[in-house]
Amino acid sequence: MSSKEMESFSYDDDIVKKFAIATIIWGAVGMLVGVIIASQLADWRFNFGIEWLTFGRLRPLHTNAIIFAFVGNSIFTGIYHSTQRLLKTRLFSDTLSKIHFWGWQLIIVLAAVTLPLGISGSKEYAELEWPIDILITVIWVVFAVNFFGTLAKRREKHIYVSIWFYIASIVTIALLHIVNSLEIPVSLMKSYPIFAGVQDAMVQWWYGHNAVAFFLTTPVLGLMYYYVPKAINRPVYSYRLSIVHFWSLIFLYIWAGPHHLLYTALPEWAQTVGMVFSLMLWAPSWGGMINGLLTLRGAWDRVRKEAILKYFVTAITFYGMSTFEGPLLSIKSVNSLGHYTDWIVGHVHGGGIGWNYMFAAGMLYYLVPRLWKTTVYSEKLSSTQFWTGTLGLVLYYLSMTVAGITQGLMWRAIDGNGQLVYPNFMETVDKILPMYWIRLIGGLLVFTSMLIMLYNLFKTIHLAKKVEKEDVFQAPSLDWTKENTDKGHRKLEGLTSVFTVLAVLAVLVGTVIEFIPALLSRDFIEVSEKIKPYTPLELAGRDLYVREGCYNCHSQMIRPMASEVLRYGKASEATEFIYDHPFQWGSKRTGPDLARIGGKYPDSWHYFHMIDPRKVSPGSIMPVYTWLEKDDTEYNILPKKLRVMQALGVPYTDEEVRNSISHAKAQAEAITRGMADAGVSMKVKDKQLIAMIAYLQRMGTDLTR
Amino acid sequence: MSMKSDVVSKFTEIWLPSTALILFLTVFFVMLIFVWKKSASGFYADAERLPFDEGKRK
Repeated sequence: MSSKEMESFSYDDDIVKKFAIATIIWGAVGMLVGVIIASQLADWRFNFGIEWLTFGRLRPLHTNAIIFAFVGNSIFTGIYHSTQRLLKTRLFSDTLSKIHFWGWQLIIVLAAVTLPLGISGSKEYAELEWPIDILITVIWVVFAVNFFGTLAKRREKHIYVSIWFYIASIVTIALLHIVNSLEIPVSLMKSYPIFAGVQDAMVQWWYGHNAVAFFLTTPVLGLMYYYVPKAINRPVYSYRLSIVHFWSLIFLYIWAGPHHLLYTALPEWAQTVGMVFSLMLWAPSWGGMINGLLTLRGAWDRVRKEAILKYFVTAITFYGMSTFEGPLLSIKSVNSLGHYTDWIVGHVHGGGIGWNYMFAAGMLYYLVPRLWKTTVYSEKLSSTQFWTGTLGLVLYYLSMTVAGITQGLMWRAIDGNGQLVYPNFMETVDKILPMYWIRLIGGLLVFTSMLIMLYNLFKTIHLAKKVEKEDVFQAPSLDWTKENTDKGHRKLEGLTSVFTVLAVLAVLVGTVIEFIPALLSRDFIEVSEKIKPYTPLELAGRDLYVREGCYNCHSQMIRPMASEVLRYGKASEATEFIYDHPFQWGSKRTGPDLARIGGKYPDSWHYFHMIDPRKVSPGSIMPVYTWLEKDDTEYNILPKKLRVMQALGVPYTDEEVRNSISHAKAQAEAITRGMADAGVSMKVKDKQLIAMIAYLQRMGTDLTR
Repeated sequence: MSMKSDVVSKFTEIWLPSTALILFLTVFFVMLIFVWKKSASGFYADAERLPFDEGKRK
């Protein structure tokens, strides 16, 4: 470090305070939505028959609220607070900070309005429609400019390891969001992604997995390397290990996406690469965990007394557990049991509650008293919150793990005659319902702990004296003219631009190698002539399927396993999805797979099933969809939808586009007339339910017809 | 034809992930050497203390 003269400056803590308050509020909201949907799985009636409250619409709201509203605001809190101090400078622009804050809150509000209304693109953790996607891009660029601008005016040459994690997160999230959001608008609130089928699945899970990696993990690891040493008042256990942790993690993480698609119609080699790189992730993940935990060496007695350290230790422990379980679930034989089950839900919440919530709580208890220059309102309440949350987490995690393994074993059980032991899917649902109630209790406890924090921290803020003036600090200015004489990695640690480019390259290697073959997949997918585009009415029905979020409970992907073929029919093939914009493979089977539901039951079965599932499927936990019988199908938008599909390469002729409305009406009339014997009135022929039936009856029939 | 045999028969670019793996291992080991060099001790001892230096309060 070289100095010219001492300079005075202050830190912008006002923006840190704003993000901290937003974190607490949105955390409570996100968890409340989680409790509501957990109650709906225990008893379907908890949606009260209201369409905006169904599981399929609220589950995306829950995941988006927790990931982007709660964790998002918490990482902005920590990044803005720690970056200023690590670089000894105020943020680049107060105005950009404010635009970032209010823009992000606007995005959250828009999500909270549009998702319950069924305005969804159906890509998991990226359901928001195109205008909001653009807004996210703009606000993320504002954040990036503010962050990199701060780096440019720093007074500290060396870039501390936390900043590296922030850099990698910011550039990778931008890349992930933009590629996964490439779509063509049909209307203000409807679009189709440019990718289809296998390609779309590949892109989506490259995004989905790395949203977990670069939004929920790497920025929080950066925060860990700052706040754990600060809380314990001693440096990180091994700074050298943190360097190895960083580069290994960002290089390997990006490869692991295909482990979400094992045994699907994704190319075999891509699945294997995804599995192998997931297993390699064990090393850097545990290296980071050990580095975090060993920072507390010689100070473990303080964990017993200080709530902040309790939160941090639990968070790092659950980081270790989740990053052990993740690669374990990526092993194909384990994945064949765990995929589509509640085990994955348990795994995700082990990370979400154990790692993200616990870390955010520890960080907030560290920050809020310091930012408001006071002491925490009640240490006892923070300890009560910790134990309530931990008990809830344990109940949640165990119940879902037990439920998931039970499901997996029951679905695959085959008797001596080669027949399914539990051929009725409802038997497997019935068996795990008690676990859903235990999960609800666990979720309620976690939510209660969040409310305790909300009360405790707002009391802390309320009782604090008003701070009129910002503190002024002094540090020597950085001599940019002095030659960088460090060598190797040490030299790199002072060169932000080169460092950022190398981080991007590390991420791009895995991306490119997985993307090139995926993008060329049409060259090696044998396109069957039997595969035809959806009829206009089927397309309208498919959009309703997307709107209602059916993919949240039903998969459309039969894996090539004996038990799956016995239960659902012929294994799915890549060619079947070439016109699916977006793909609808799903990731969970609360209900059965629907890939070959077409033609399995008569139209009237679907009609009565949607109005009251228990009428035709006793014991079902599916909600009612009575509004589909009341609301009209939107025929007028069909030509526009087909035109967009045409632009995406779906082979509709111009005549088919022109006649799409009359064709759809004719098909709807034929379906309705066919149900007359079952007592269905012709009055419903133009209702959405008929379009939904058209789509359901088409599913998976092209190859088997 | 199943996806598996499709891919095995037509997709032969296995050198792609292999190159990436070799690239990663090379960078990884070079980084280990640089980071664990004895001469770097003092530098990293300073670096790890950065969170405790927020500037002098005026």
